[in-house]
Amino acid sequence: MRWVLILFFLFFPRLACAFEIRSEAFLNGSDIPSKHACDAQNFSPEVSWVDPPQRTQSFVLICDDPDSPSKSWTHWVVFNIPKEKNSLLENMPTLGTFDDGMIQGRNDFGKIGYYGPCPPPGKPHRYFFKIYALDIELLLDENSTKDAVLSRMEGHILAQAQIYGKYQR
Amino acid sequence: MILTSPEFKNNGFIPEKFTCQGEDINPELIISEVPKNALSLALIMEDPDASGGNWVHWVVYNINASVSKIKENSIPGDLGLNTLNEKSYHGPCPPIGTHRYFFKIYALNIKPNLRTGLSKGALLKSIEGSVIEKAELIGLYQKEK
Repeated sequence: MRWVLILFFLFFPRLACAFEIRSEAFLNGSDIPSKHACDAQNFSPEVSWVDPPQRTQSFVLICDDPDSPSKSWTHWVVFNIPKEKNSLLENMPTLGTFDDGMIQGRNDFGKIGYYGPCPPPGKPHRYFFKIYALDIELLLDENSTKDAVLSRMEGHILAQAQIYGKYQR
Repeated sequence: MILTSPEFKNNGFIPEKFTCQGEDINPELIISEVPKNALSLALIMEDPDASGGNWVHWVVYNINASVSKIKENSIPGDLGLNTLNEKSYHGPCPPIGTHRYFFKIYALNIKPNLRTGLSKGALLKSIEGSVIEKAELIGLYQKEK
């Protein structure tokens, strides 16, 4: 019986997997290198995802900090990520709309694109990178904030996954 | 020495244009009654109400002592580092509640040749013993109204 199961997972490995997000920059729950924070280059980290639902029409990526005094400080909002994509490269340009239709919205620093961890000195903050697979594309522009994106995608989330990293100053 | 702004009164609200919710550019500032013996000026803008202590928004120095007006969206001298680690103005962007933003101008008896890129702490150390006079202007900001 054990062998049957092992053979089953060898031939159908996808059945054993779920929608998942990773980063080359940090492991889930570990420290984010300062390269990705305001103390250094402030580069967006590489992120990739696997096993999205088949009906996915677009992806949304959100990075936020629940340990901010405001309970949620948004660092990055990317939406209309084409369904064919499975990663974002490191150091994404701070561009609103890309040629392939992908859009970076406005973060809580008031800036378009990624703005890295920059917590007030003190305890470490957690930075969640959340990926959502949607069954639609969003009719929003690059001035959209996380709240606008979240309200538009309500009822259209097929799957979601997240990881977090920590940063302290 | 007196520091004012045509954009907001002392202890009044800073217009959104000058914050992270607007254009994020510096407001115009007027410096009057600069001491005659001043050789340079330095300016610091900071928020003492940030959760981790003072959050520095703007550090400018090596400002010519004859400057009586800092124009909107301008670089009046050499820029130091703010808490975002940027050599630029970074407007009010409080996470929650009303914060106070202190604009502090220092009249100095030293020539405008401090090295660039100093943090607020390094700047204050460099000008220790050289401050002739100081003036302050406070603005407020809150994101949700």
